[in-house]
Amino acid sequence: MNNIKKVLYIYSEIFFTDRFVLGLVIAGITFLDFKTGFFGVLTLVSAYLFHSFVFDRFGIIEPHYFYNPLLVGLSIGAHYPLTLPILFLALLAGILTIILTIVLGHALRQIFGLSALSLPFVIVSLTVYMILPIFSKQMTLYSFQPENYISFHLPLGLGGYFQSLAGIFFSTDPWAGACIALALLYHSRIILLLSLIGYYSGFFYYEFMDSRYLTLVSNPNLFNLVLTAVAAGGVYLVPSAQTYLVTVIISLLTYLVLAGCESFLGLFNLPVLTLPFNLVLLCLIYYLRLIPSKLKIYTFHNTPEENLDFFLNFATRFRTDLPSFSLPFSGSWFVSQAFDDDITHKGLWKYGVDFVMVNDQNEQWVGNPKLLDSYLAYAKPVFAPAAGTIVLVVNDIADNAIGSVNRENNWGNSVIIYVIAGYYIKISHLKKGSITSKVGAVVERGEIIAACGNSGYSPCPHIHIQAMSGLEDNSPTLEFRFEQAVASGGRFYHKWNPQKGQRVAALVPTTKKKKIFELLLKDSFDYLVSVKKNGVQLVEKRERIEVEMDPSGAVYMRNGKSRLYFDLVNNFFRFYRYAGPKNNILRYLFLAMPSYPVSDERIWWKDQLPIGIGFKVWWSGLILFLTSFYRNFARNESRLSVLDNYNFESSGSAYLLRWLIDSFECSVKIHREKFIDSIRIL
Amino acid sequence: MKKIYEKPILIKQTMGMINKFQSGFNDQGMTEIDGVKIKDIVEKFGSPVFVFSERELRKTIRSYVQAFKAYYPNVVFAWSYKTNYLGAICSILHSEGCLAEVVSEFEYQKAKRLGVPGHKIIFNGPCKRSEILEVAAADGAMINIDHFDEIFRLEEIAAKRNKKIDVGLRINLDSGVYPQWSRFGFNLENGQALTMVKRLVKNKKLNLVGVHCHMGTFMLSTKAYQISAEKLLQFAATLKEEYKITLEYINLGGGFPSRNRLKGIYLPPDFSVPPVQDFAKMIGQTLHEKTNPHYMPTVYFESGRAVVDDSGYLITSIVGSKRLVDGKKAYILDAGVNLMVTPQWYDIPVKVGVDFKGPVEDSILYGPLCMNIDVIRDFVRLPPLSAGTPLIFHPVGAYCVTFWMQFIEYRPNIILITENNEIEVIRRKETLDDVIGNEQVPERLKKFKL
Ligand SMILES: Cc1ncc(COP(=O)(O)O)c(C=O)c1O
Repeated sequence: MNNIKKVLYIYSEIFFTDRFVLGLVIAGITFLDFKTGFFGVLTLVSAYLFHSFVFDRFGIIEPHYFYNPLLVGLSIGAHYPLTLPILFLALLAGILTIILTIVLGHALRQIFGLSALSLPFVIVSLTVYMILPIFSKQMTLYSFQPENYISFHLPLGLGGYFQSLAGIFFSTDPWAGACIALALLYHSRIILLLSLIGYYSGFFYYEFMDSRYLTLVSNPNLFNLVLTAVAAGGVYLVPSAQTYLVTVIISLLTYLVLAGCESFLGLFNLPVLTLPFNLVLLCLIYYLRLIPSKLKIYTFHNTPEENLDFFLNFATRFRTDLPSFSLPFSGSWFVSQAFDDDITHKGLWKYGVDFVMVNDQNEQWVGNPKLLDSYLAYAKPVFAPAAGTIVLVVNDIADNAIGSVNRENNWGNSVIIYVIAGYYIKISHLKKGSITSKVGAVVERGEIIAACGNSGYSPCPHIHIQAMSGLEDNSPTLEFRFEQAVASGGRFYHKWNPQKGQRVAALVPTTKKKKIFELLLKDSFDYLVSVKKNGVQLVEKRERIEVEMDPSGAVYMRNGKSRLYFDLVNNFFRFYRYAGPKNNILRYLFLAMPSYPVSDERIWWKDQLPIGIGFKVWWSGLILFLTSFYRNFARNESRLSVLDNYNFESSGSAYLLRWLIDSFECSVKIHREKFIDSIRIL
Repeated sequence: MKKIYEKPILIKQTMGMINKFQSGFNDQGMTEIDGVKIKDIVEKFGSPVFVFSERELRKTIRSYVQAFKAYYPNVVFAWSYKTNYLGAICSILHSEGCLAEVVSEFEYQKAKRLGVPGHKIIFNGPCKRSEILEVAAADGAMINIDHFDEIFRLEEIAAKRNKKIDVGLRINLDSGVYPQWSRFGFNLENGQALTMVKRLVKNKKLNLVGVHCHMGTFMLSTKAYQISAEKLLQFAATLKEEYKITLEYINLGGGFPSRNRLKGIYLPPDFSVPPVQDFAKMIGQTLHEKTNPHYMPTVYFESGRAVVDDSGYLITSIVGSKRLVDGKKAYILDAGVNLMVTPQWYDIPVKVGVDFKGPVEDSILYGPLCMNIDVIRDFVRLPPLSAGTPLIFHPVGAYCVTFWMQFIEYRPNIILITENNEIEVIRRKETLDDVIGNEQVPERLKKFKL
């Protein structure tokens, strides 16, 4: 059963995904013309047997290796009669393709960091066509000449659209294309939309702008545009209105390349196959690699909907787009100036923050306010906010008396740390002689590096901190966040945007909690799941959760086939991706506890759940489709608050625009030794 | 106003009294506490009466926590119940985030009654009976073992529960202070502590998660804490290296001084008592030297006296005065060692509750007990005062209202002045029923006729 599924995944890989239903529909379509389907399976089998034989390992099917041989088989079956020599040729072609897939895939990955896509298919198929020219009139699909192509007319060019979908699988039957369209609708609304974008962009160019043809016959090679649009907009970019627009343009570019390929290969009476798609997509992937686009996707998860959900969830929760580091002090401090503030944090220097220390009467001093020594902040240790290398130290400027400033050396005693992520952190107005490190020294996050002082343009002791793109005084400052901060009112922020007038302290982790949340591979936890409705026991069963690691090194909890990915970085435990059905206990775990700061503090915090997790309703797919046009369309908020060391509560609310759709309450009890003791969800 | 007649006296000049810190009286009395008139308090709540200032208490604990946290983030204060376990006082401190530090079954139960969860209770002391240890183990309290027999008891409980119990070890060490409190815990230098660790590891019933060291009270040396912190962290490093034990906490005990005046110390508190900042800095720096950003154990303090002393006042009234045979002026007050046991060790500063005039003279202050030992100050310079004049002892927030006794007199009202200067009674004056409530007079003895 598992292997049948894998085989069907090979079919759905052509649409960049592993899906059962989609694979089934596609496999069925290839058999509409029995010969085509048969040859497809034949090359698959020859490729698989050869590969397993050489590998000396059977029974393992990696879908992404085998769609190229499949395509080669389909193309042979579609164009040639079933004869012994052709059968023989197809067997060899399958083997050639699997070798080429692995070789080309490796080479492209090593040299350019790209994948081979369906280039192996193009190369092998063209080779075959060069050996055996295509004679059959009816099969001119790939050596396209409008006059001998039978076009199917449905309103609005829909016939052509269906035909180009079917054309991906070497069929000209529009009804086969309609089936694929239906399967796409079921699988992913976003992919369907992208396929339409691809087709109609080309349709527009072809019908109205291409002076070569003045015919109403549609061009079946437009399937190249469909594939490119689906891949670009659904796999490599985050679905959004912006992405859809980019996809239109990329489709038009693909048409350009397609026309070029047609003209060139036409000279040899060869079809273009998926060459235009391969060329454009490889170029696009490489281009995206080179620019820091916010639309980029780093790891692809099955459907564009899931991608979007993961991306939005990750982006809003973790703000990985901004530099972020720890607060540079211990204890509770007060923000006297934040970003873009009225006194000195302006222009190039707008992303700086000033901290002072105040007592419970909001005074910065105890005793005589005219003396430097009375100031609470003065001489307090300053900690390295991130690991890095010291690249600048100024250490010998005298501390000012209270109320006076040094206008010559604005920054006073300062230290600059270069952080490996590629930016600089500057901390200024330090105490004379307090900086303990030298230029070139490597510091750890949380190490004492200096003491708060009153040097430079500073009338009273404070810590100034900023992130910069370079280490010169006039390098632009960068917007950043503080990590693991507990601000006024006990609200914890994983990434804190400093606000003037707030008190803030770094989260204090405890050794005990670290022990509890440091999970090791093979750790397993047994839970009793009990579902009650109106006091009636509906379900009672035992479930086990095991900690495992995937090949990329990401760790997850597994229950059955469901996976819940988590990590614990810098004392912040978080779940960030769930893959599995809706009624699994791991999904409930994610719901109840999207994150947990490993501390004993009585904090509360907010978090966001992925839309696919929070919305009970089956239409989360539809919601995601709409979210791709407007990011704030749906929101899944969760609010968590600590009751004591071992108990916290969380409540979730799912919103569409501003309407509350669904909500729930949970209470979570932490186990005294490892992980979670129990969860109650209402 | 009618002038009161005061008998003329001769005062001998003594050289010893003349120094630049001369603590003579000026003519300003202390007429109010936190804006509330002493006169009104006495009128309403009688004399003697204990007065606590919520504002002062919160201010002190906040400044302590702030001072230490500025150096080392993972500092937690626990409230030492024995110092003052009035429910209201404990609750204020718990609301400021302090855990509970208890040393007996009674204190343990009291903390729980006030709503402190078991795992936020630090259980110290030399006399922990099996029954309460069982409760503490089930609650997950932080138990610091004092002696070998306690290990036995806890191992028995662990075996019974079939579950390991997290424990800490109380340790005594040489930090240069005299006397060394070696009667509590296990000695570090002679290897006793390490022997116990071996024993715990071998028996596998108890999990060692922390160490505790309380060196003494009213410690004037910051250096002692530095040494103690250093030695404990060194011990932690040894445990990590040799036994793979990662300690979750280091408990440095209490003992910070208040602004009280220790007998035998020449300088007044403002000069002899180091400010909290100094302790924080010294200890904080040592902690950083001996830990690293990946291993920052929780550091507990169980400061009692320093936190609460300043917020407590005792208002007493002069009941009468007399001149002793040696010519010394003596005053009899309505509060004595029954309410302030500490005069043995401290010269508790005293203030007069009204503005006054006249030369000051050496006086002795007696309490109300019909006992020779009831002397509160055997040497204090006071102006002539008449009966009914209130005297205010301050600071008396620490130990007095726990270490007091119902002896001869009833124990008085205790009031709290809130942050809005309002008065709340937090313990009402005892009545006859309170005192004899637990007594049982056998029927046969009741029928006496006199
Ligand atoms: C174990 C322990 N911790 C803390 C304290 C509180 O000490 P202090 O009031 O001097 O701070 C004491 C007092 O004796 C104690 O025995």
